[in-house]
Amino acid sequence: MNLERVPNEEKLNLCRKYYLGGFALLPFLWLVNVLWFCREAFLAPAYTEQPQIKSYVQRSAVGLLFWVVVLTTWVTIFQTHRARWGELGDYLSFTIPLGIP
Amino acid sequence: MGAGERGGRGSRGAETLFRALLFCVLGCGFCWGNSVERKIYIPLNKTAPCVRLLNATHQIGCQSSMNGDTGVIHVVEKDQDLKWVLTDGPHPPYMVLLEGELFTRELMLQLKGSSRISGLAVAISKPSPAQGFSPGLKCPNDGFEYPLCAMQLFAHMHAVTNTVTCMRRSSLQTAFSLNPEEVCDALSDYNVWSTLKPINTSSKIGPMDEVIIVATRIDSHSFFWNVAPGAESAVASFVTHLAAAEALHKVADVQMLPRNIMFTFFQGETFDYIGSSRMVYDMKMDKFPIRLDNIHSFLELSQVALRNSSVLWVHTDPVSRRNESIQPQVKTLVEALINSSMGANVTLQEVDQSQPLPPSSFQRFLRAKSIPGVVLADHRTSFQNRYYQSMYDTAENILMKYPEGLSPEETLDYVTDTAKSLAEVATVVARALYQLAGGTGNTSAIQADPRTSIIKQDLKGLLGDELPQHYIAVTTLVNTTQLVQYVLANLTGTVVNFTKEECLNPEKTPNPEKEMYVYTWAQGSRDPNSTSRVPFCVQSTVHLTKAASPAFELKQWGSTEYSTWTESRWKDIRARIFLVASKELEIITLVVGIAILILSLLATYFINAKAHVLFSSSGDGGAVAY
Repeated sequence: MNLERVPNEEKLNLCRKYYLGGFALLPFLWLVNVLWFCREAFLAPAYTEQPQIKSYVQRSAVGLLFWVVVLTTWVTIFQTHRARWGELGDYLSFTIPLGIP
Repeated sequence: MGAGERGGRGSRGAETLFRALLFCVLGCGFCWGNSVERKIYIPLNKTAPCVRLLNATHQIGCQSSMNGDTGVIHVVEKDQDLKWVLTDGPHPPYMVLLEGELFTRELMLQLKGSSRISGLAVAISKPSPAQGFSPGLKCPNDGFEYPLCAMQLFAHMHAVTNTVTCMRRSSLQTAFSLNPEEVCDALSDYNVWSTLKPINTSSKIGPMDEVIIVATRIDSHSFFWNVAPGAESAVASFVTHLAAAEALHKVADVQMLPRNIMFTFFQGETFDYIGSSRMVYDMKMDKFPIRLDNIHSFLELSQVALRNSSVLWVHTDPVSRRNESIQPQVKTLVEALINSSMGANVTLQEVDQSQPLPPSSFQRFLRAKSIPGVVLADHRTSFQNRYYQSMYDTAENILMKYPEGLSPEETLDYVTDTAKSLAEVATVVARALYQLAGGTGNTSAIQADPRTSIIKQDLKGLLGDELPQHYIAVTTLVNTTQLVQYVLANLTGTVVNFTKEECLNPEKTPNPEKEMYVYTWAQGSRDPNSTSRVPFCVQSTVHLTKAASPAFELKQWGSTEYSTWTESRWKDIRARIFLVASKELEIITLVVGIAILILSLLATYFINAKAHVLFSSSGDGGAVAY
């Protein structure tokens, strides 16, 4: 969707919807929000709705960072410790590699 | 018009012909598509891999990488050759080709952990007297120059850690996955048992009925998968047992004996007594026609082929003998055996009474209940068998020698010394059992026929080029179990006059005795004059009972009480050899290839750019009709 043709209220609406949607455990919505409205929020010439869009983008970025940290930590711990966890590791796994602990 | 049409049809015909030719060439090319692989790789056919086996706490065996392990072949014939592999050689990693005699624990510990070794292949050393030993490969030894010979081994095992882990993973996969990937299987097969007097297997025998159990094991194991000749550890024992069973069945008044005799052949004893532990479990859970209380005494034949100066040792259990009611029964048992050995070329001697039993199935029965019993063996303390559970436990190990120049039919009739010796043991056992079962007649008439022993031992040679192997695999009813079942039925059963349909479906005939017997349809021997066989129906009391560890029935995969041995699954086990080039040659080939690619791209670009100059024809500027 080309944001140049969209009226400003529409842009604010979209940004808000993506921001609120991300709270439903959907960090990718926040990622999209940040990437899509980044230029609108920080690089475009000022207009009335811009400060609100800017705040939504910033908050989405914070939420995204939080999710990135949590997921990276969990994936690292799981990949390194799954073999040691024995039974728990097997119950948490979807596919278990063959032939290695 | 006509000429154009004719021309058009002609060109269409040419087109079709061209297409047909192209199709043929492509099709043939597809069929020959693998010839390049065949030019590079030579597959090794007569190999036995080493696979992974797991029990409740550990794993044993071998593993390779998912896509096989490759290494330059280096033959190790003496210890000094190892230095080349471990430190000196310039082209690691190496695939060590080991002579059979060097395959020892010390050498393996030296190789362990070295990153310069990618695998190991062992060449079995046949005791070949004068010619010496040779690995027999046409592949050159690791020299100083390329191309070098390399071997790649594929043996990727799916199971890991121990039985608890692999069974848990298998059950998770079966329960939750759409495409379950099981990783291991429990070792299981069937025990063979038969009674002297027929019993009704659908119900239990009376509480006052007494049974004497004679037991042997029928399986063995070695380092390599499905290589388990087990001549001394298993085969000699069960052949003796079969001969004793045959001798007893020939006696006239056996059906009137007060006690019954059960001939039992346990499968899986090598792996923590799978067969015997299952039978004891079934007896305790009342799933077997005979209960533990019905057992009067127990006689087991351990390794009996290598008797030193014809002495057979009698082992008893000191713990159960402390019981006052058991001790006299054991004495009676031993006396019956010693009485039976008069007149035969077997000297029975008792070992020291405080010495515990050798590894035997009897111990599983003793764990459940104190039963008087003995184990007969050819060793007093340490084994006489120098190749116990290894790939060298073959016919040569039990000194089975045929004179030179006999045809296969003549070897079938020839009585070796080993056969005679086993027949004597069988005679002693049969006579003792007759006495113990309450027989009062003269026992000197009971003789085991040494020819019976031969027929079994030579059947092995006749069953294909290789000796049959006695490994309890995970597929049910291995050859050994079937062999024992049918031979026992043949020796102890009677031929009855049934048709094929009556024989195969005995429940349809109104025969009151059909519950007591098992009917087998035999193909019959080949008439020497004609080419057809005369089949017949054999009535016998030979039954099969499942030999799978109770640990898997109870789902106690970490059990310390029962055997928990499993075998890993795998996709592909093979080995192949090929030549490898030096790194420099590989890099040169790659660089030359890239250079040719760039050159051809440049050439194409320039030719394309200057096409109007290169391909101009005089005066032809018109459009070309297609």
